[in-house]
Amino acid sequence: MTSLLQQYASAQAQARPDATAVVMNAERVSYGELEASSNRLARFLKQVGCRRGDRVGLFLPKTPAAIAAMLGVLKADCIYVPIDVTSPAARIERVLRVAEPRLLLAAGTAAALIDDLVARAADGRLPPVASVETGPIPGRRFESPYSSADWAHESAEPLPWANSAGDPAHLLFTSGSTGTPKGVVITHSNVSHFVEWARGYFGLGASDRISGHPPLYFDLSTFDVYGTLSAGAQLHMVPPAANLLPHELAAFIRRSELTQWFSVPSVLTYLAKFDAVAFDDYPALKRVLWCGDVLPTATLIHWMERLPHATFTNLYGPTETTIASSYYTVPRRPTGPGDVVPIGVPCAGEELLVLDADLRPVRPGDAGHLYIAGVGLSPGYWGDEERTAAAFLPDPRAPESQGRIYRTGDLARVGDDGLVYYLGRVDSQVKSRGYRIELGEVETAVNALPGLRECAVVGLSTGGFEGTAICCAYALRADAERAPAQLRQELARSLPTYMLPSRWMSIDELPKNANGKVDRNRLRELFGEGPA
Amino acid sequence: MSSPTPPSAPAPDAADVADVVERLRALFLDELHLELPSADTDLLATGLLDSLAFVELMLQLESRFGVVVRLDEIDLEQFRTVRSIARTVAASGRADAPRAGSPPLSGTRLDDGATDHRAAGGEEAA
Repeated sequence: MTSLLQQYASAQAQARPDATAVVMNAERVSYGELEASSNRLARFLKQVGCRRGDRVGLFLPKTPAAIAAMLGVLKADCIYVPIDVTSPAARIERVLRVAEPRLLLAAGTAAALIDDLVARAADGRLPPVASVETGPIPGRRFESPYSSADWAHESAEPLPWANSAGDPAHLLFTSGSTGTPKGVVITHSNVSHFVEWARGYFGLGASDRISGHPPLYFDLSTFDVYGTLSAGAQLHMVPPAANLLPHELAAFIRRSELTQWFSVPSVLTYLAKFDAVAFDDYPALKRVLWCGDVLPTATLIHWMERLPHATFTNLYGPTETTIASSYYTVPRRPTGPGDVVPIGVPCAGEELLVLDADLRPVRPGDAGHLYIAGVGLSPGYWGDEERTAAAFLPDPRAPESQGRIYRTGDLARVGDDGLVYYLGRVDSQVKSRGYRIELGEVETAVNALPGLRECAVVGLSTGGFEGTAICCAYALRADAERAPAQLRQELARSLPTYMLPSRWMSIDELPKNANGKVDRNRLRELFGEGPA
Repeated sequence: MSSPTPPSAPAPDAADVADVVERLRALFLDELHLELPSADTDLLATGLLDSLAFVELMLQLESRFGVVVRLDEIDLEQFRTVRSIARTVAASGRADAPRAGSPPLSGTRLDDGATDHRAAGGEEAA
């Protein structure tokens, strides 16, 4: 078993240097090229002072160059932090404050964002920027002291490393209920355990052509990337331009002759809803996988009717337990949209535990809190012992051991069939288009807007493609005049687009219950009853 | 695939386009809560038109303009700005009845009656 993630690519480069590793639009990068460019970058990173365990921020869109950058950072014994470059500077600033990167690797398209970050920084300083372009990035408020020309002439030979499997490979930031994003530490062994299981279970091989749909700051992409590299397969990155129009996306799947599609459920519903999946479409497609949210059974039936040649697997697991912790391959087409698809059984080396409030197993079949134990468990949140201790608990079955369990915040039960069924959330975390969103983070940001007397943000399950619609009810101050469009625009300065409420309601006063707290159930009713 | 209107459509009248531009901007403001700086704001580069907005836009074009866009015939450039959307709408003749042969959102196989129209389809990070 490979101990460090970059070794997947190195092994392929040695065996099949000319084989294609990553494809995006007209660009094809071979394993040999990936290996050489990441070796060069690693040497450069060490030369400019990046030391083992240092974080390197990636201000890179999803491109083959970003994959080379990820591998290069790992080869320098450092930790990469993929940044959502479409997020506003205010939120990325909070991420950087937690991650404290030594260096930023940036594409030219990130120039305006980095300008904004420099403007916001108290001392006007950011970590040094290294441009992955052939020249410096033209920032107005910053200079990029380095560019890829500085490592183009480095040796492409492999370099020695000091890391071992238990060392962190990357930090992935997720929404935090208080407004501060949480940096989930993911180790090499966290990822390789899942990848090894999945490669065997799904039978990944060099002839596979694997989709790269989720962005690289999203947990699921880790499987696309390292699953591909471990099998010597091809990663076909979905270009952003193919994303909006369902028929363009369908054409991409067809044209790329993908053998594996992996995305959040909303994409599958989007394609189905716009009738972009024909009967016996995508003949090369062997596997359809989804994770991150509940796939409506109606969508699953639609896809299974259209693609009788493909298998369909539901994967389940939060970022904190790495890609997925359980799986369920649907054995036959569900009989109706009311059928419930389980989250299944644990992947190798993982355990799913349904426990009561005292961390004791519930009676068989009863609902309880879902905890996860095993090889996928992250060491915790970067630089945040408090939130780590709240979510990662000592294993109650063996308190003396070093074993831990992760509290998912999900409710679940184990059925008579031995399969685990997801029942809902215990808190106000929602999934919208597969994005994990703490409504508390949204509410905190709305509350910071001027002119509001009070506000509340609730999630409304629409039964449709986005999963949960984010709804904001607000009461304006007497002297304030504000339309939802203005509030949305102001909010977009502190939250990424996917967190912005899609429904707004101006209200004289929020409904309260007997002890004066906002009556969120009543609010959901109000949104449910109102015009769509 | 870069022509702003379907090849078969007649060139739209300039006055029609201007009228549709105004109605579209009102639609974006009222239904999508998006205040657009101008009719030429790049909706794609700015990320303003994501999957959520796109689905709502399709529904509104159907209900307000009686236009059903044939998704398998359009290309992305037709959605780049409000003005280019207006040209597409105006070129379709703004017929009261939807064009025949189009798969209307409300009529796809997935609609089981329980599904809200707003909840149509989408993707991660368009």
